[in-house]
Amino acid sequence: MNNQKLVQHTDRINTLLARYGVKFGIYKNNTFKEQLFPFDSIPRIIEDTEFKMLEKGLKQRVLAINFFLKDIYSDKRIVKDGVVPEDFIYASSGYMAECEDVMPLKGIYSHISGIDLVKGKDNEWYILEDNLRVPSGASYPMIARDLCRKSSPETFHNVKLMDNRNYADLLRKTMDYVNAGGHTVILTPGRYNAAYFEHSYLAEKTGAHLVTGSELFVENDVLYYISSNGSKEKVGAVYRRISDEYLDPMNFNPESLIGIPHIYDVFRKGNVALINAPGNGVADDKGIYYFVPKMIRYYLSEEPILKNAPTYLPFYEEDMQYVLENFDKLVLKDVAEAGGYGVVFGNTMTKQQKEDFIVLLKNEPRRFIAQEIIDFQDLEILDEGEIVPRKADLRAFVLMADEPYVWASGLTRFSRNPDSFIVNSSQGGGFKDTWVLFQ
Amino acid sequence: MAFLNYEYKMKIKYSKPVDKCYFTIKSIPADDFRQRNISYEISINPYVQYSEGVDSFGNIQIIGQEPESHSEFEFVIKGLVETYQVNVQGGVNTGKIGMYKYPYGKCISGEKIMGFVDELSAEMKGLTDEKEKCRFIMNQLYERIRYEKGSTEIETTAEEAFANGKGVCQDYAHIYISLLRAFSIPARYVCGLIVGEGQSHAWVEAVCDGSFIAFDPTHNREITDEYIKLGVGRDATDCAINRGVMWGGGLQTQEIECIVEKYY
Repeated sequence: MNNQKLVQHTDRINTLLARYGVKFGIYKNNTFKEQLFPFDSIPRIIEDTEFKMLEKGLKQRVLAINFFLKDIYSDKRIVKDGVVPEDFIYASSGYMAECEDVMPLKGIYSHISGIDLVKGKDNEWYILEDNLRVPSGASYPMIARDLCRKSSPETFHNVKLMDNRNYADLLRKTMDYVNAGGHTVILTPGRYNAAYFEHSYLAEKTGAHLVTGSELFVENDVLYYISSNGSKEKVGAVYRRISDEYLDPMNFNPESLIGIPHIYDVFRKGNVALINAPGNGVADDKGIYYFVPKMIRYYLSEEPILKNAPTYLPFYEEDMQYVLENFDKLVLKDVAEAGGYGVVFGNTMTKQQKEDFIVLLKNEPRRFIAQEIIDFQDLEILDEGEIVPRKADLRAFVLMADEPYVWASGLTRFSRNPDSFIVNSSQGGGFKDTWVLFQ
Repeated sequence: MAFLNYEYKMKIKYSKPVDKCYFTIKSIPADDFRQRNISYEISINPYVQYSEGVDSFGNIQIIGQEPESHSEFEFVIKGLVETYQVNVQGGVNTGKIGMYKYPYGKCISGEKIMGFVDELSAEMKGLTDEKEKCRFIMNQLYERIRYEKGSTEIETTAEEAFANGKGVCQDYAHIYISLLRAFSIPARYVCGLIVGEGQSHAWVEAVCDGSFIAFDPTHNREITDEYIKLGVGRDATDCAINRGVMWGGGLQTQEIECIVEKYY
């Protein structure tokens, strides 16, 4: 495959991305800063057989997680059977008592799952985390692919590359599958949200209306949207890009100004689909991550196809012992934090920091997980004209309608800092397109 | 057994007109092991359309909105409930009480409450029966806290009220729940009405040996057939009689009238 042409277009594509508004905003020291999301034109390539394995493993994982969510908010068989200790459910910030006995339409909780993986130097893929609330990122490889094809059409001539521009169709199908009758809308917190580009892009590509909370209202157990000509239209599905706590000031955080009063009560009565369902945070908690392979065995009676990074729960006496003895070779994560925050590497701490941390760990063992540091493969990136190796991960998207579907692409994020393992975009990383080849 | 006639009236006056408002009212008694809702009647003024539903704690809720401008909002519920002098409900669904085992919302213990827990644990060494433990803790709490109207606010937490050493029924219930949970006894908040009181009351249901038993820490007693349960939750917020979001309105004043009488 010849990338040369494409690589030459890197600057041009980045200029176009900037013009299209491919940016994300971050709050730093209380000020909103928008920054470009740098694109690297050397794609990550996943071969056909490898993708088939990933596809199988990801479908299995998302199916099991969905069973778990359904179980947790109803009978809790997995707790009664002693597979998951109840502490990990109720003490999780993602567990929402308000979701007890509220079954989403067609029993689907995680319609859009963003599963983060890395490929180790041992050539194995490892799951890093599951994102089941409002995972973002699909729009970036979508638009990048589009611009690449326009900038360098010859690159794509003789490649057996799966087209990734079908994401919009998949998403539309996913939203339509659970639609309770009425319009489909994408609910954005607004212009100053980190992922506003994505919200508007997906709305345009799927033909859904892009709305803010003030354009929606509830009347007699039905959700309505006020159209541009002022008419009142019934809404059947909301792909909401705002978090659970801000969704409905009558049921969740009463201070929320971006939510819609009573939208959760409409959902409760089955008159609207919320995508993803509220309450999913209980399944993508870093503590629950440990139990996902157990869920796969429990609900599906199958062996997990994809591996977790080896993880220890200091909550268990045996694991605590291991963590204390192997502190320097582990990475420790605060289960309540996200976005690359609350992550510390044992070997980078000073003696004092280590002692303080161990005190904290012993006081709140439930709050942390420890993982072996996976030495993951580098990918090549172009850094000021030179090709250099950098750490990268992959966010795969699994969409659930009548069955799970794995998008044949994904967001590859890389760290621009040669010494860093943290690839999160809020920490200044860039992205690549992900090419899945077919035979 | 008793038949209780009740009327609960809430009137909110605004200093400036409210452009529109949304409300959720949880004030309809649900049937359970010790009460049966025989009949009720609701009126809301100004007239609005509303619907009924059930929340995830099992409370009946009225949901509605007033889209027109208004400066007063009045809600009245009248009804008849049959209550029984049974205070134990067996066969608790263990899958649904986990949420009542852990610190939450206004029932998160801080240093002061945990200090009290330490004191109590020392004295409770001999106690094994869970109901006895509940009684003992309630007694100790009753000795420790003074009832004082107006000493706390709706937003006051268990820890704050305990540190001040005084409170009203809501605070007694929050502190009692925090203590019970610290002793691994699942406990939930109950909002309701009792004979002879001009406003709503609060008490606690604790799970003892697989059954819910209701204790009234404000009066240091188990409840009787003079209690009507309106709602339950992890803390007072989950079962607040009224919750609303409004646009405009300025300052608001709330008047509550409440009468509960034996029917026969």
